[in-house]
Amino acid sequence: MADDREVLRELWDGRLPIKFNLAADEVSSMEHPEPCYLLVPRQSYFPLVADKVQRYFLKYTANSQGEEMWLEYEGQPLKWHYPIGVLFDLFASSTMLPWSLVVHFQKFPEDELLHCPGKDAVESHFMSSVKEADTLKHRGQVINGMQKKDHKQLWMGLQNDKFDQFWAINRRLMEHGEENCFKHLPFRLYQSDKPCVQRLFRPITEEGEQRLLGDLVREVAPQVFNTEVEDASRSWKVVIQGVEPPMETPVQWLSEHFSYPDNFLHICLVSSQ
Amino acid sequence: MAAGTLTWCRFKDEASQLLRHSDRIKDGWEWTEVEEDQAGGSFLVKKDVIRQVDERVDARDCVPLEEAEDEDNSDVLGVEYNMEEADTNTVPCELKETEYYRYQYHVLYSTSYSVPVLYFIASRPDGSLASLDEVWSSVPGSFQSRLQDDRWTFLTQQEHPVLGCPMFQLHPCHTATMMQPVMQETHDKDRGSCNYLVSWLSTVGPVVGLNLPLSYAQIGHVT
Repeated sequence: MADDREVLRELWDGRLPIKFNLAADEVSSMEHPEPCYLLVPRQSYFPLVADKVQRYFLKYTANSQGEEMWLEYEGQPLKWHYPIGVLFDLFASSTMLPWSLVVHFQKFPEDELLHCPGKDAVESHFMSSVKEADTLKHRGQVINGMQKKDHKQLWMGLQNDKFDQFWAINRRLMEHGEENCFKHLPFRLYQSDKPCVQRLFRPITEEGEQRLLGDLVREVAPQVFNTEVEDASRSWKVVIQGVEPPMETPVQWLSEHFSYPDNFLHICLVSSQ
Repeated sequence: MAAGTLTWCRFKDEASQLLRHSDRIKDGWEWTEVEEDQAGGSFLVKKDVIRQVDERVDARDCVPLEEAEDEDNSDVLGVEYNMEEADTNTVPCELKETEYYRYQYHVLYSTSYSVPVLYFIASRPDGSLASLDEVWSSVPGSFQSRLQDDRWTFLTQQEHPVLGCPMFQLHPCHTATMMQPVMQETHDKDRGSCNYLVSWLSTVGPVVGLNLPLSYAQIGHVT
């Protein structure tokens, strides 16, 4: 059970200021549109917050075929199915705010991005992550023991930015029963230009000792600690929810407090150049 | 292992058997190793499966024909073709010309669920990727009702866990439940061995156009 509730609330309320610009080569109107500014929740997904952006820019493009909107940062198409905070930490953590993104309606990069036919797609993706996380933590017993309306409440809580509504259900997913920890840790580790890494990882050792963030990173991304590698000058930052937690932090605590609403710990490995 | 699941080791062993048989009958399956020594980091691939789709139906609206109207329409799944009326009980469906899609299937192991998972891409003749609606439409008629109930938890686009590219995926969360009686029956009747992978693939494959020749049933599980 998540005891440090202030942390949960602070993370939930985290916001990012974003400046959206229409791709210059897609402007078909006489005047170039002004950028659109939004303050978006780190915990959410772009398709849930960017309707306004789409409606605003559509009138400046020749979007007669109803092409899907997609976002790009410095040449990098952004995966809508990653939480917004993860995308920022992974690609733009050292950039100045507001975070400047380019809006596209043409040439959808279908070999890189999933399509988002609507909010159903986001809900489906979100719920399947929640289920997978619970399968790792509790063999799926908690999520499968809930009613459909509870699942719906999780989703609505996220969609409508309602902390209490969300956590009324989510706290059950964060309970760890008699063993004092989850069976396995739901996490994904990201580096730019590589597919994300997901492994089975137990939060405690055979002897019952808490495993730490450093143990996880050492096992899954040993290059972070490997000082004998050629580009040893390139050091790494381990960023979760926009901060660099100490390597001594127990992963069980991180899972309960620093997970995103999908119940996964999304860990970004960023070069600290 | 929990009922209806299998270990990574067993997955690899059974994949080897499947590959040996595939080679024998020239069925085209290959083994791809991306992350050696990592559970789930290697997988089965079958490329260039051409699937002709004679009739595409709007997956949301299928109404059985009351009477056979068209002499050419000998398909099991009939459609009501209605252009004029704004009848709220029936919805117009479109009959398209014969098309084909090029499929590529990947069978991966999920370490989260301890079951195999089926991924696939479907490309149109011009090389572009099929949409989710097209994929839902090409699910055979016999599975359409399952799709109607629950399509967003059944078959959707996902990121390939090893390659990172967009593919379609049959959701694995019900696989263990589905496979449990199959494994139990084999165990109870003391039929010796059963190839989990073959049983699973022959059950879920047809939903997305992948049919396993019957000769695969000969493969036994090696302990």
